[in-house]
Amino acid sequence: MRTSRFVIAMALGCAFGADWPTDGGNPQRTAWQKDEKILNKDNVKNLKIVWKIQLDNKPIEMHSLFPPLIVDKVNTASGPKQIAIVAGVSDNIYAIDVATAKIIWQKHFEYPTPARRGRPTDPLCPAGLTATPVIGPPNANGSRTVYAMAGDGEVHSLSVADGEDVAPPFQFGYPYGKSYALNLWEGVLFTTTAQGCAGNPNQMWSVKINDPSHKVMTYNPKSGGLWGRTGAAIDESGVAWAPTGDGRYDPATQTYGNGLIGAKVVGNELKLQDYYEPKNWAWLQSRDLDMQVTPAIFKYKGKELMIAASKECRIYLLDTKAAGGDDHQTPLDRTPLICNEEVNFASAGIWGAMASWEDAQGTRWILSPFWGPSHPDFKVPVSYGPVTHGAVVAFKLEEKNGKYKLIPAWMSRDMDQAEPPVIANGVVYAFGSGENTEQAYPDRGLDDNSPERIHDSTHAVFYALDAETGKELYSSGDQIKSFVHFGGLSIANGRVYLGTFDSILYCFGLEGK
Amino acid sequence: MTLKYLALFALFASLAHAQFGRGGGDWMAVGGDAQRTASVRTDPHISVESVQGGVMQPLWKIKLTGVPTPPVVASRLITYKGFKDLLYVGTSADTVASIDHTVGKIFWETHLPYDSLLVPVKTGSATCPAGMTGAVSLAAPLTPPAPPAPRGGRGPGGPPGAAGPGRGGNMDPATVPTLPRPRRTPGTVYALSSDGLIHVLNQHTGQDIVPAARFIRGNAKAHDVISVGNVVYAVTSDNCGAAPNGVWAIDLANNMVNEWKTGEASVLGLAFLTDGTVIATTTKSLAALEAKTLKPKQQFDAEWASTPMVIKVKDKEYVVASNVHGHIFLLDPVSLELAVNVPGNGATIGNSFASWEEAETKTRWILAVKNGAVVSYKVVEKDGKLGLEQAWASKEMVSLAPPIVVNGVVFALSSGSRSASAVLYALDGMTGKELWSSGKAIAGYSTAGISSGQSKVFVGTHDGTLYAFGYLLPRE
Repeated sequence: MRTSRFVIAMALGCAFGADWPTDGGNPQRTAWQKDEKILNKDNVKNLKIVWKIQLDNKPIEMHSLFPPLIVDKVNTASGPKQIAIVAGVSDNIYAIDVATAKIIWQKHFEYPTPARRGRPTDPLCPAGLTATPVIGPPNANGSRTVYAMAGDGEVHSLSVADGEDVAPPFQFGYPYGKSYALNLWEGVLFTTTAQGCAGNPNQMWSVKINDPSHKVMTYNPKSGGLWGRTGAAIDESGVAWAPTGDGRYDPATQTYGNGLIGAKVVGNELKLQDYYEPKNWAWLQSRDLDMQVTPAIFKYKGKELMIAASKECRIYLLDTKAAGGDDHQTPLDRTPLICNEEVNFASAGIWGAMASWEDAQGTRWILSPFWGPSHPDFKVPVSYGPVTHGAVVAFKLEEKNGKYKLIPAWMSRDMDQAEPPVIANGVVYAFGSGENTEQAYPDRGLDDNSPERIHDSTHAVFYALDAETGKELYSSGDQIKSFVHFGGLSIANGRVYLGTFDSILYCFGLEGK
Repeated sequence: MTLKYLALFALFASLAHAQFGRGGGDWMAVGGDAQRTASVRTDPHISVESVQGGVMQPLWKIKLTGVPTPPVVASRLITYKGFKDLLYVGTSADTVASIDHTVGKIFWETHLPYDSLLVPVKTGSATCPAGMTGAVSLAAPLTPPAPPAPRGGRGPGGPPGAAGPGRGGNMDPATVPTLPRPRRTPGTVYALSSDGLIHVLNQHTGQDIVPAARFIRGNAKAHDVISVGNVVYAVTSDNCGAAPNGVWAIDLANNMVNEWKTGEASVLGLAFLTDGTVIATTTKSLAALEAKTLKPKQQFDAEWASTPMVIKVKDKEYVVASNVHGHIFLLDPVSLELAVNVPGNGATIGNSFASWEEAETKTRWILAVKNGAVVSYKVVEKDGKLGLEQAWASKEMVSLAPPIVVNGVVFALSSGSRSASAVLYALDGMTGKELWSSGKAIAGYSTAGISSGQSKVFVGTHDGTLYAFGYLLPRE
């Protein structure tokens, strides 16, 4: 009996062992968990909160917990464990035993207060840790390291097993500069910065982990901020792709506002490799509809493709080998407007990050969240009632004679500010953040302030949807008590995680599994 | 997109980087600015070259409630519905409409309810039209704003960011965009309704920010409404509605009203020196009035025929006005002594002027309507004395409205008649050569004149339609 249980456990361990080592699931930011074996279309209706844990992280402005990273079979002093690593904006890192919901270790980064910081009450510039950490591959001993950037811009290399420093910290980012989610590719860390927080330059950043000098390599597109929620996505050539905020497009001066840039470490420099600029970039700039969605990169029929989007509420399909073609302005396909008929810069449009997956029949699916009402001219064959606050929309990718087309497939039910979804085993997991996203008011104009937005936020609702039809399979209803800002979903081994503003980490799963 | 449109887009896209100056080409009040120069100094899309290249297009037309007055134009407002470029237009029906002029959609429309014991005049005459007669105004600065400064970070002590507030963040100072800085707080629209109340409306909503205040007698023929330094000015003429003729000022800090009554003399219009002095013309005198109190400082009696205009020549201000005999005068703004007298020989001069300065040579140009044609003069200096030298004259047009100037392009409106529709013309400001015309795009005649802003020219017609011509950023 003992033996058979051990064998079964080992077998399950080998079969499962899924990780979620980085924001968006992988360096390509597809948000697709390929190795999920427990949750499926048939059983997610039985999802429940298997545990939740109150963390002692203090929210700053609207930020609190960032998407958890999951590593299975971590050898700890008390045996192998599946660990969730959660970063909090107050410079906290927590390692949580997924099985018991107990904190295994936690770290708080201390540093002298930086000379500059963002304006207090400004939701855009919290003074603290803002980049979701990243977990590196196992070393020769099977140990894993989590790389976390503190609010002062120092990167700490911590053992996932016990939180101990495995290498001295090194300077990478800009103090209180609002770095976005870290990404890791063949020993090079990437991040992006935006909003000019504390006077930062808006640019892409990279550093070689094993470079003793830790030379910081940057590329500045002379644009507004690079604020794709999950930072840069990295293609098979090591090119990091990031969207750029409002600004001009002037290739003569290497100015790439309202576009998408791809840069790669060449020698000891981060160099621009390619870029894409929508033909209507000037319109986007004039209405603050900047490209600010982390792209997702995937293979399709032997080609590596990429999807990107903007607050204007379109999706662009691009070839990573020639983004925008010869003139950098011709995508393989571009959808009509999905939402944002009002042409609003806040509370409407596509925000956050894209997602993509492939079904068993080889059909490639594209997923995008959006905020606000769907566009009245956008036609989709399957939908679930009027969308007024946001939804997830799915497209199928088709190719005929070298022509690519994004075909609308379904639009989900209405969600209160739909956030980037994740996909696993034929199920799309999504959530409405419940966040108040208003930045301007009739009587005052622009007045983006955290206290008012926090007051006017409600609570997140977590959903499971049939990935092929968009049909709702599960809703958390009002079980989640707070909203989410800059948080996100993670999924591995039958558990889905979401952290909320009140610093509670929720774990959804099936009873007994 | 056809090759033609691609070529046009390429042309305009390149021009978009070429020239953009102060404030982004807004139109603050009737006559464009406090000096009534009826000009937009620079524009990113309208120039002699681009108009020749086909930049002027019919953009949209909107039917309004009532006959429109010339709109005023504001740009890059951060509203609760997103970034908007809005114009504001008052109509004879006591409505004020806000139109998103980049898409040609009404953003808000508000009716100003009649609130006076006087019986409202429902049917007007050519001399005394019914309803709201004065165009709305934005808060007009006394001097044109300086070109935008380089924009930097948004950290402590830094100026606001150049890029959008959404999450675009801030830009390198070396990459100043060609767009004007977005306006973060709602401005105001000043509307003088037919009941004589001054309304201060929120630019984003059209709602009264404060209760409307009694300003002039109801049913008057009010015009030249302009807000300068939290004081709203207006003039009344022709004793319409038994209202006395005069110049009026209301201090919005306390709603105190001052007036300079002109008896039988109708007031033709007003303009401002950059020190705030009000220059007003009536059918019998030209006066310099103290700001806000309207106490006369100096007066020059003559049979005036035009609204004054204030121009600068080599950093010295002059007042431009004409009399009923067709003379055009430049006057010293303090002493009101004549500096230039261009004989009129009995010509009929239009009731207002326009003026622009050539960027390279700093040559000052004055445009007048003379005997039904646009006549352009250069201000010249010989032996230390100023003079006006006629440069060119356009063809004669039907009921020619006062011209305006946008970045060296003169726009002239043949207002038409009951039997001839209005036609808008674009002329080369240096030569008078016709560059473009609206052809048959306008149906009906105009009684309102034209205004401009943000690469567009607006024409209102008698049937309540507002037309927009010019350039739109490609949305696709």
